[in-house]
Amino acid sequence: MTKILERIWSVLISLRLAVCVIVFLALSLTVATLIESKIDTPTARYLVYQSPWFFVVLAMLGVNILAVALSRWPWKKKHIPFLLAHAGIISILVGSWLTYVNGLDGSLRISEGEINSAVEMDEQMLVYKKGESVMTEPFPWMPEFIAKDLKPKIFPKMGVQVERFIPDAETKVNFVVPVGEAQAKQKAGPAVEIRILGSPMGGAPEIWLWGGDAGWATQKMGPARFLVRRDDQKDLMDLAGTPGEARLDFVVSKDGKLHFEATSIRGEKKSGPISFEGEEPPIVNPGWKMPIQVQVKKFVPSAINQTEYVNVVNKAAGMGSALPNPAIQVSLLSNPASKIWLGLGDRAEFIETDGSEVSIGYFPKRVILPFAIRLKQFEMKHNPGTNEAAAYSSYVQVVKALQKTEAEMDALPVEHITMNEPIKVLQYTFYQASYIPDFPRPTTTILSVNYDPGRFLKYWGSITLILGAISLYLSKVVKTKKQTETHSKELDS
Amino acid sequence: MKKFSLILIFLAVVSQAQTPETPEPMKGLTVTELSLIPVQSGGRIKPFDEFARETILSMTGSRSFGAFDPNEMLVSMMVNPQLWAQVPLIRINNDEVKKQLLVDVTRKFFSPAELMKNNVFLQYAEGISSGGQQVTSTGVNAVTGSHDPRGEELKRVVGRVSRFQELIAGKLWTVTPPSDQNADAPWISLSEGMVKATPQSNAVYGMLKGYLDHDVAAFQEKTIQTRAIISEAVPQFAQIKNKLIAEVFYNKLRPFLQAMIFYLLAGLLWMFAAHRVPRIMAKFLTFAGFFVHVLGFSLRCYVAGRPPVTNMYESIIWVSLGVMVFASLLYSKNRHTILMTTSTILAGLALFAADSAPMIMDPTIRPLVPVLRSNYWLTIHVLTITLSYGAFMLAMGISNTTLFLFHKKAKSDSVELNQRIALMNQLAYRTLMFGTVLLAAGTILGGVWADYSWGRFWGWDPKEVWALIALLAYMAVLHGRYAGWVTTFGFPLWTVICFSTVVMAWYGVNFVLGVGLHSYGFSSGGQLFVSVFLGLQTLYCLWIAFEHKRSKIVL
Repeated sequence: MTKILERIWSVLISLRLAVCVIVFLALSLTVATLIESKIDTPTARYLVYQSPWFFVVLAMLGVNILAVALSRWPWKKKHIPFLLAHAGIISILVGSWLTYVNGLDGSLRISEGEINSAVEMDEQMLVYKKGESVMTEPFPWMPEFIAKDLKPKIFPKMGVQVERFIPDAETKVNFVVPVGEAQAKQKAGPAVEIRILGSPMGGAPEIWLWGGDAGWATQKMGPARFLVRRDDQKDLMDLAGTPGEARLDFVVSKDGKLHFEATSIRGEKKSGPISFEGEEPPIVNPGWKMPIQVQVKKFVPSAINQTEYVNVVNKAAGMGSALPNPAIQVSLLSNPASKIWLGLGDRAEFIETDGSEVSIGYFPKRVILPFAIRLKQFEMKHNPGTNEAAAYSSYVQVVKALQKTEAEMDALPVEHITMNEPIKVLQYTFYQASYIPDFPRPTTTILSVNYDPGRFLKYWGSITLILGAISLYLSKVVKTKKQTETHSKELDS
Repeated sequence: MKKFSLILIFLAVVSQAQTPETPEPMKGLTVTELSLIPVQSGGRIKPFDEFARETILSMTGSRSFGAFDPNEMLVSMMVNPQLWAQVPLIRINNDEVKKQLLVDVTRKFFSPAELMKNNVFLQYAEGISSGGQQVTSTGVNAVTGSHDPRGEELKRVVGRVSRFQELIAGKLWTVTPPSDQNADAPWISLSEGMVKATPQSNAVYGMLKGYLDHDVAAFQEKTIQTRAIISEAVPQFAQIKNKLIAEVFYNKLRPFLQAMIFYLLAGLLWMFAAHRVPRIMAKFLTFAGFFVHVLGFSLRCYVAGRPPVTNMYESIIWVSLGVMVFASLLYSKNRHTILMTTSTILAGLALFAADSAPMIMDPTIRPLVPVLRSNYWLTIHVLTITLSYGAFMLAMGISNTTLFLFHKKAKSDSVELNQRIALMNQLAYRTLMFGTVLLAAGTILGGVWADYSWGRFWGWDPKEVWALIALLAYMAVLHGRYAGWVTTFGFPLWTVICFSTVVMAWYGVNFVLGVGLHSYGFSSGGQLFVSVFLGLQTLYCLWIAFEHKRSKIVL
């Protein structure tokens, strides 16, 4: 037994292990940066920086250094530089561990005149609400190559399963025939997907028109307006009708048949049926002076709208470090047909088999501060004569629960947060991180909120490490100086 | 005046008539007054001289063109646009682009007129203005995410031509400072002055008319007036007056070009430093080079109002200065001339690389992005970390020389040679130790700065990570040497190999990886140059290692 322990100890204090760990660490970091460059930052974090094996490597480094330092016991004066440098590294590693475990690093968005105390973290979770009871479960991010083979993840306590996960999603609105009870209750209307050919603006734009909502029912492109309606939807019929506007209505009769009614700029009318019997989607010629034709790609007599999330097809270059926009598809275990997509920050209502209502949300983890921050004003300065931001800053007030009325809050002292000049409230530090672009000027600030219990150890370790490194250097210089001198003498002679 | 305005309006339209004339510099003209006229451009107020050089750089790819003084050239272009439209001055780098435009692939420069008549070019230019193509500065298509150097270059070419058009239309040159004394407000351009005349625009028109009439005296007189009348109106003129003069002087001096020449000559002479005369000359040249190097650096600090260490061009200048300082310090103690040979050649080559590629490494002084405007920590962190690059570069240079000694040793071994090798290794070891201390300190200071301005000490950002990788690599070498695994031969070999991690941390993260928070330094280009360097270095190492191994087997 002692023999085994001795063997382990001799391995732990060996330089061989140290060099191996160092080289391995360097290689894995190289791979991590390549992943970050080729895929994205969250994937690099998932596979390397925040993965268990990486923690083991770092821990190994710490244990090795600690063992080596202890092995020199009893320490002598000549060991001081060596001990300082190695103690510094251990201190930094422990400090970083503390930060990782107990620290807080999130962001706080506030618009001018509003208050906020909920810090958003870079972690995602499911929130389940039934009546008064609320349950949360973490649902961590994962990269695409894992997400695509994801087995449905079941949350038995909630009675919910996550069927699919998209690491970086964009929304796409689709119009479909309703399926199941819940969908049958949603607002329905006729939907057509049309493709505009011969547009003077070039290209062949494709658009959806949907009669379920006034905003979706009509779209204007140049001087032409396109519209879809049931023939009894009088409100939509009178909707536009601006003079000097060409108009093409897709009208659905009671028996579910589609025909068009076109009006040219000069008021000439044309109408006709649209038949889907041919192989190609039908093309409508509204008879306008402009050479425009409209192809009806899809027609659903009674459709509901459904927001779908799909993988971001073309990732913008240089956006590798931007936060991804994940989405999940959830359903109730009791009713697998109740599938619905939730983007980060979305919430949806479900009806359980017993008729009770539940809501499921997909939210970033929030930490509520013991106080709130109120944004008095956001300010942005520019480089002379350009639109480039030179500096941005927030004027904020710290609101404790005691101040309730607007007048009381207005009287609070104003503090100034700007780039590189944070403020500290209790143990939290607030940094000016970013803002939400807006016209004519941005009015919503994004502050980064930070609490770092490992800060002291990290700084202490840094100082020790540097002092150790400098004294190691000096001691080596003294040691080698003699050798060099003898060499030089021999050379000269 | 009226006649001139008409010409200006006419300028946007490229004249159809083939004029055999080419623009010539005017005789007896001095441009000192002209070069000192303040101009607001690129987010700061700069002298006309710098404005002219940047404008010419943005069209031709270099900061001056032909026999013309850049200042006079800009005036001449505004006055004789129809002549200049026929001059081949728009640079096209990419052969694919030339093929696409159906122009002669062997030519480098094309005239604005011929491009404006090129249908392919016109179609493409229209596509760009309607926002169809989005190419980032790293040559990556923002829509498809694919690397697209051709699209990137096409976009640049369109930019170059539109620069020319803006210039001749008077839109580029801002002449009238704001009347409300707001130092940050945009200035009014020359073309706006045509619609609503200001005293400044009238003065400029007078000056341009003098040039148009070939009236040197009138031109000089009007230039003095113009400079005075614009300067008076600049709200913050008192603060920038001397900076304008310093910047013009800096541009005229080209200090880093001079330092490069001095260094390279010195490096050549240091090789023969066993003799007295070349040694004294080498010392003198090294000193002269160092002097202009420091002078240029200080001038740039003064003009920019910050230490010049925020992009590749500036960091090369600082790192080569670091190489010189380290080598001189070591030399003053050990008197090994090989240190000076290595360092002067390294510094000279580095400055040559910086100076020869203004399209890749932009020498323009630009305002800092907001996050960098905490001068104190920025200065300390960046200066320390780049200084360590200097130390590693010197160690790399010394070790390459050591490797060459091994080549000699493989042919005929001698005690003297072995001693020299041991000595060189000592020098490299010391430089390396020093570099490691600086790199460790610099990386940690980076953490301190990040903590101070972003609230996190370490965030696994690629730039941070590569600094750490370089540190780990050198740590492995130092520990391996301590354990005795890294031999007399292995040490120089590994020192040279580890320098590639510095190249990656310094150049690669910004120019190759192109991700992370240090994006303010991102750019593209130079891959060929760096790959050739790394390739040659690898071949050299392999060759020496092979020889070394063979000689051992024979023994």
